[in-house]
Amino acid sequence: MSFAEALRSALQAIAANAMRSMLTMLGIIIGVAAVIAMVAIGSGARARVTDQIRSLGANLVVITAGNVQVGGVRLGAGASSSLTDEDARAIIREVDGVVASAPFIRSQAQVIFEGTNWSTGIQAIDNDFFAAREWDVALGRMFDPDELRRGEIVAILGQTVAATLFGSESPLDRIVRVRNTPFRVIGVAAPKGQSAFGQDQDDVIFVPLETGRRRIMGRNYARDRSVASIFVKFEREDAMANGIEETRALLRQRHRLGEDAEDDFAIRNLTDVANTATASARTLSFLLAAVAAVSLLVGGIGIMNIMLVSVTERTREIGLRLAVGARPRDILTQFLIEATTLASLGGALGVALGLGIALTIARTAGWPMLVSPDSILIAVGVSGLVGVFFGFYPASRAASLDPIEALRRE
Amino acid sequence: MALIEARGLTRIHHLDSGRVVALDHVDLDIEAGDMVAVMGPSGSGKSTLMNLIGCLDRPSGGSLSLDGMATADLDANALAALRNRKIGFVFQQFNLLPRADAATNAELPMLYAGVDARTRRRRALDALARVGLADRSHHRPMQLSGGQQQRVAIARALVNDPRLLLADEPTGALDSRTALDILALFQQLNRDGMTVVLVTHDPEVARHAARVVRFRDGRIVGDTRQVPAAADGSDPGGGLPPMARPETAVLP
Ligand SMILES: Nc1ncnc2c1ncn2[C@@H]1O[C@H](COP(=O)(O)OP(=O)(O)O)[C@@H](O)[C@H]1O
Ligand SMILES: [Mg+2]
Repeated sequence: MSFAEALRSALQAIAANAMRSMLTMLGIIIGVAAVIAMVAIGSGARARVTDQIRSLGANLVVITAGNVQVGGVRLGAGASSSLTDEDARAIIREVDGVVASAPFIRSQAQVIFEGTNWSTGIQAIDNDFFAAREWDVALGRMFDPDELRRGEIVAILGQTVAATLFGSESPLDRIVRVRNTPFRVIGVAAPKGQSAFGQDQDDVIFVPLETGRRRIMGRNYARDRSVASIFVKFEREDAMANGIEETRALLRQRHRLGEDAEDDFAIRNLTDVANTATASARTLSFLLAAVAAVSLLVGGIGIMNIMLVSVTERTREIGLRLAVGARPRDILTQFLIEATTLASLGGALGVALGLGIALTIARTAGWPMLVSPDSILIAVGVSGLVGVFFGFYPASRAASLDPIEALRRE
Repeated sequence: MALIEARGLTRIHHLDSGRVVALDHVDLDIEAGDMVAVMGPSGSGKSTLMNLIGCLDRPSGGSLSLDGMATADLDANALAALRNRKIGFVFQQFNLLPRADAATNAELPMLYAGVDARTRRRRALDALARVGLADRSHHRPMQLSGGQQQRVAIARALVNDPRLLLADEPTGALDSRTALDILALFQQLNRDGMTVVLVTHDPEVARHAARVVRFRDGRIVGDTRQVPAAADGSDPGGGLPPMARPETAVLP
């Protein structure tokens, strides 16, 4: 009997007991679905994290001001901040492995160009910001040192703002108004896309830090040269833990905080934030791997059980086949192929289910759907092996039947 | 040399309650082209003999050779090949695969003979035509009468062109009219050169064989030749099977 014929007769036997076969395959289906979903979720999450880190800038730390206490009185939001651009300069000067230290202030404001009104984020920055965020200017140029020092009224538009206000025209050297101040556009930033939290990072206008302080952000920032946050970019990831501790010590010293005083700033490792997502994806993966292993085992035992039932039911058929010239090896092959087909079919259905689960999770979590053909092949292959392994015992029972006994069985 | 040569053929079953001698030192020759009825009361060893001749069972003692080959020398695979090519089996219970149609059932022995699918189908249809079921090839066993099912089983026994047809009570599950049809078919096959050995406890059936071997308690107690009755109702003197000779006692 050729393999194709054995396969056809196996499929017929499976189809003849469709319901029973389906239930038998359930373990395999769930196991394989778990494997496929697991791999897809793992690589999807990893891809998203890689993406986030790329869009955020690698090895990035953000320091935010907070807990300013003046004479024991905690000041409310919008008041003066504890961080200054001197802090930022001190960090790049004194902390090891820092490649950029970018002080910045964020605000929300209306921007107007020829009757078009658009509410957008205003970021007051210096050029280190572009280095820290691994961002670039697509059109025009960055700020020059004089513009930064003197706080000139110039702006670099994010892609979304440029497109909204100017369509396909070039915004260079045009004037946009923010808070009644006419800013001259000197550049358009490269597209950055969505942030980890789904915000449009291109919906932004960059202005020199000094300009922002004086014209947009309010008096407090201008008076004490403070900033809301500082991006600190490290050269290498393994330098970050040390660097963060050094930065913390430096800032405490600069802010003259006593031994038992709380930090008046917060340092967050943004790479960590992104990695947390990977960690939870990994936890989910382990969980699914456990489900997969147990399901495949249970599925395998289910197949063994149903094959034993099938051998018993078909004892006469086996006897007849032996009588008309089947060798024990032919019977063994027939039942092994049947078990393997059952398991592989379960594997294929499991792949379909797993893809469905992965797709649903990917949609919900907003990361790319990544299923490698390898993982599909491996999943189906493994279920086939489960079939061979658990099908062997029933098949060898069938092959060792005595033809006369088998024929006499009712 | 005879097609079947049994010398001191013995089959003993060992049970907890003791031993059962199912076949006790049987000497038997069956010539190629003969049509032999094996008779005897229930439990006399008829099926045991058939199973041994059919290589489904191994003797406890004595020797058996088929077409000059000593079966004791053959391993399991060689015995399977022998069953496949040289022997056709017909059972009382037909033993058809219930979910397969007539043609597929008839194809079964060729699956294990390495015959390609197209040749298989052609030969199965030929065999079905030979047993008068050309128009039933797509019917499943359930859709056929008992006699028709037995014909499918006979077609299955014929597809590999065996030299020997072994039928253990082939008419036992059929009414007498249908049984006669099946016997006519056996006689036709025998006329075409097939050696037929059939087991029966029904004298009416045995009348259609050219030789009758009687068993009791695992031993041969009678062996006679006769002019077989024609199952198709034709003049018994007319179409004598090749081996048919006047009734003669061959035992001392
Ligand atoms: N597998 C077996 N185990 C024990 N005894 C058996 C077995 N097969 C047959 N026998 C015994 O061998 C004797 C002959 O059986 P069998 O050849 O089937 O008789 P028949 O076909 O003539 O009715 C009987 O007594 C039967 O009980
Ligand atoms: Mg019997």
